[in-house]
Amino acid sequence: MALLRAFLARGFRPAIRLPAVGPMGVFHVETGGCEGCAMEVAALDGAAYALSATGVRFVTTPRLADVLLVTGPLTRGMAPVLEAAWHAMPDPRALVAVGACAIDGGPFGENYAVLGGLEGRAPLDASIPGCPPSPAAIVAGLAGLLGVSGAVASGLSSSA
Amino acid sequence: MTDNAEPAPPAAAALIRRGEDEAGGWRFRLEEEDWHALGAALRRDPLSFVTLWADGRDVHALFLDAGERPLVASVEPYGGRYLGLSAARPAAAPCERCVQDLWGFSAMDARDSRPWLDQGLWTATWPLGARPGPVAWPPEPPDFRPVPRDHAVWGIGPADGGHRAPAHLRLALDGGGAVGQAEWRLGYAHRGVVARLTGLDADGAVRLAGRAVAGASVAHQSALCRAIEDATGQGAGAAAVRSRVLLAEIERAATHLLDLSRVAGAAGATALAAECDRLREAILEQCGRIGGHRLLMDRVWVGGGDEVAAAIGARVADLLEAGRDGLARGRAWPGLEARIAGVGVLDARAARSLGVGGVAGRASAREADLRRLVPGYRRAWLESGVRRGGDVAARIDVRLAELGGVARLLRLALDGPPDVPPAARPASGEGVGCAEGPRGGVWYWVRLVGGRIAAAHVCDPALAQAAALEHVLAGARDEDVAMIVRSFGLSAAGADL
Ligand code: SF4
Repeated sequence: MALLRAFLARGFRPAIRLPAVGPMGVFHVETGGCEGCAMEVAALDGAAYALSATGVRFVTTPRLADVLLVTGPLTRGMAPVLEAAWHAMPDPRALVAVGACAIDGGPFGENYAVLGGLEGRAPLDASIPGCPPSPAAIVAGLAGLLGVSGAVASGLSSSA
Repeated sequence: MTDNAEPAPPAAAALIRRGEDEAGGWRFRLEEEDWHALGAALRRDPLSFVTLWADGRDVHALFLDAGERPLVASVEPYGGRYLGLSAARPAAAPCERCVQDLWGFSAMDARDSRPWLDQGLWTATWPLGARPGPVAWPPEPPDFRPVPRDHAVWGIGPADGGHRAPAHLRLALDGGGAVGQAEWRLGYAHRGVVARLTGLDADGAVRLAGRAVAGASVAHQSALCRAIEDATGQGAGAAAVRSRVLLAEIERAATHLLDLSRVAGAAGATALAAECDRLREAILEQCGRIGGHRLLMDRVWVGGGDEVAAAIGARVADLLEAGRDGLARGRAWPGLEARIAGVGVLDARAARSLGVGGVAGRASAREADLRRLVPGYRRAWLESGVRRGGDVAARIDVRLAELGGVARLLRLALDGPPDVPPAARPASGEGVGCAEGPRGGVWYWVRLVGGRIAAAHVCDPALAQAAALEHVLAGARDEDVAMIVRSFGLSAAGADL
């Protein structure tokens, strides 16, 4: 996985300072899990959560994204796709792993088809554990990137 | 007919039963010539095909005899080759391609022998086979079908920000916005579920099955539990049977609402999508608060099921009844009918031949509901609920009708005693189990040795749906593609496994 490391890892990484104005753009890539984490991210993107009020906006191209949000274990097939998405993002950018699979492979560790989680392969700006984490936990984790306190974030996310 | 007409050839099921019984009367080993005779018999016999797979030694094909008794034919490939069944059963085609990619057994006479899962990025070719092969670097470019003349290629996925399991859809568009040809490139979400199941004990295997496809976690776990219980001759008690029914119905409601929201969103029916999102969230909230897991993972285990299902089931029935009018209002949104009627039609014949069951099958006039085989459901509880249209509208309406059905079933299962399951078969070390998941039939086959999984097969409805979508999308308008794909509820996680 030297390839991925070369693309994602940098010699040093300044503290991520995402733009303070305007919503935070999040590009979500599901890299091959059971879709459970992806469904919880999707729930956030739906009508049940007033997401725009939290300052988070899902975008459909990495070129508009501040955050690359990854769910699922990184399959060998998705590694080049994830690299390409990261490349397409403008600086400053953050990498966030959501769920056990994306963090350390969870139930889907390394094998012939899977590389495993991102931990140890790329510097993660946030890891949101769970199998899957709840939408509230995901919002709280994303809010952490903006320096919003967890209390505020969970207040915002309980709008169901 | 003349007097010297040859006697009628044996029916396919009888041919299979003439083989050597290897698992207590439902799996039979066929010699190569009998397997060929089976292939020929299937051309005229309607025996219903379910799935095809391999273990280290054999290729197996599962059928449903008389529509309800699992019947498996096994053959040992000779020189790595066996006669494929896809010429007689097109639904076998994606299975044959998976067997080729994973085990290296090639199907003779196959409709299509191109890779399905293996994009050349794995560490080995035929990774599950006896002798995995080396990989070529760089990988071969994808072997797409030739695009019709004067068509432009438009690719969607595998990463489009859409909160879905990754898959690539390649469309050939004519100048006027019509899709000439559609083709999937899959394998991005292949995690090697079968390879991972092998060697696990029963509990570990059931936990993993809960992560095969999140929208059908209860279905996968229940189907595997039934297969293991079948293999070990151990039945599930009445309480377990009941809680599995309740959990399956709650999961059905949640996943139907997810799929409805997705298709409504793609159709521009934002009000319906919003109703679905809110109702689903209310259900998941109950699952999380009362049941301890929003997606109901790990509420089912071998021999049992979580009795907390009764408490969740009562709440979910209330929620569904309260939400019915809102959903009906969303469905009546002006303009929706014109957008979805007659679009993305899967006709009944294609649904049958491509093996599409579940919601999509029932929307195409196909009576395909495995709940009639699942212990705990009384036949009188199940209404046929079949539509004829086969279009996006029919798939939406089947789901909406089934949401009402879930509320009714939950009440019935809460009030009445479940159908007592018949005595378990004697242990043979091998078993099959099924469940009617939210998107269709889920099947597991297992062979246990010393309490551990020695070989397994998982069949999710997504595989057949992916193949059917290639058929349905050809001829569609480009602006309808996303809506049609979502109307099937396809999850690449289930197609790739
Ligand atoms: S962490 Fe759990 S829920 Fe999320 S993708 Fe992995 S197995 Fe599925």
